Amino acid sequence: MTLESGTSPTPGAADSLHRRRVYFEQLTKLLVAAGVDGDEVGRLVAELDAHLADADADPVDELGPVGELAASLRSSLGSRRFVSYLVGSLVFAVAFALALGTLLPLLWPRPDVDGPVIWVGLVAYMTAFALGFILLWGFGGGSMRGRRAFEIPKVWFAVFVVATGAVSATTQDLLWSVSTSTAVTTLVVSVPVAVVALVWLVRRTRVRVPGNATHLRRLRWGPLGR
Amino acid sequence: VAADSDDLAARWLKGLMEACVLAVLRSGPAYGYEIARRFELIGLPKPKGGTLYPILARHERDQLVEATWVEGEGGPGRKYYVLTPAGQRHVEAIIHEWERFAPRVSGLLSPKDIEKESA
Repeated sequence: MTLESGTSPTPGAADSLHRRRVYFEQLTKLLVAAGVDGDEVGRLVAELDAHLADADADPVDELGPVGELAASLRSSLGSRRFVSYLVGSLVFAVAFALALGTLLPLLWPRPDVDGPVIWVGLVAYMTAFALGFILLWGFGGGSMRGRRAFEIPKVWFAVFVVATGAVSATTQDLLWSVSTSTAVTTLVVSVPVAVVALVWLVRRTRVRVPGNATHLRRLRWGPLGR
Repeated sequence: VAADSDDLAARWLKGLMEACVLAVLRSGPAYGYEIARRFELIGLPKPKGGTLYPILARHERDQLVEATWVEGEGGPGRKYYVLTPAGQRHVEAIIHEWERFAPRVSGLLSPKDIEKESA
């Protein structure tokens, strides 16, 4: 019952295809969020869709609740959650640092210090702080084991923001005295790494489903959305 | 409680499913639905996709089977599974163990023994 290009499904078949698409969207989202490679997810979805077409069965009847199937497949497929977590953390840290680097001079302006050194220094300082915090949190708490990539409890964001603000407010002199050379070195390292990591993450979470089933062409990409 | 034979068979098969999937592939490469159908053809309950595919994924991860995606001509593509030499050895070892184990269970559960116990 797989819909091929150029054919029009009957209302019943269209409903069946819709249910399959919704089911596979959820499955894709869960697996990609768990760090399973997007291409691998795409091949799996195509395989399961073909199975449902052969069996002429409803996805939940044949494959079970989507959460249970995802959990079962996640352990079988051997997701690389650890790598995904680190890459996600790095991207997050740099993005957060850039955002704070832009925000902090507005909160604590220093009219006597001006120019690009401030901005570069701020970014370097915040990058180091964010990376240190996240790596400590990840390794120290053992949180990467069994936790879905990008799934950081909201309370830790609040703690992070408050701690960052407090440290920044009490160490303004240190903040301003970050040397240009250190700052530039940090930027030269962290920004390209973050860009490469982001590209890798986007490629990894892109789900391409082989075959010509039109109802599976536009699956969601998981944590990065579309 | 009366036991439904299909339900009992499905429950017994649960513990043996991983081995049975490999055993089915001894007769040649097959895709997922075809593997399920082979169960049915020999009178066993057809495994649901939700049971079968995680097992196939595990076997593939453990290199007991190899999978090849074959594009369909006018239909959906198929992922064909074939036993690897390691998978072949694994299933032979399981069959060897099963041949030692099954007669003991049969001996225990046979009607003759049950009658003897209740007498």
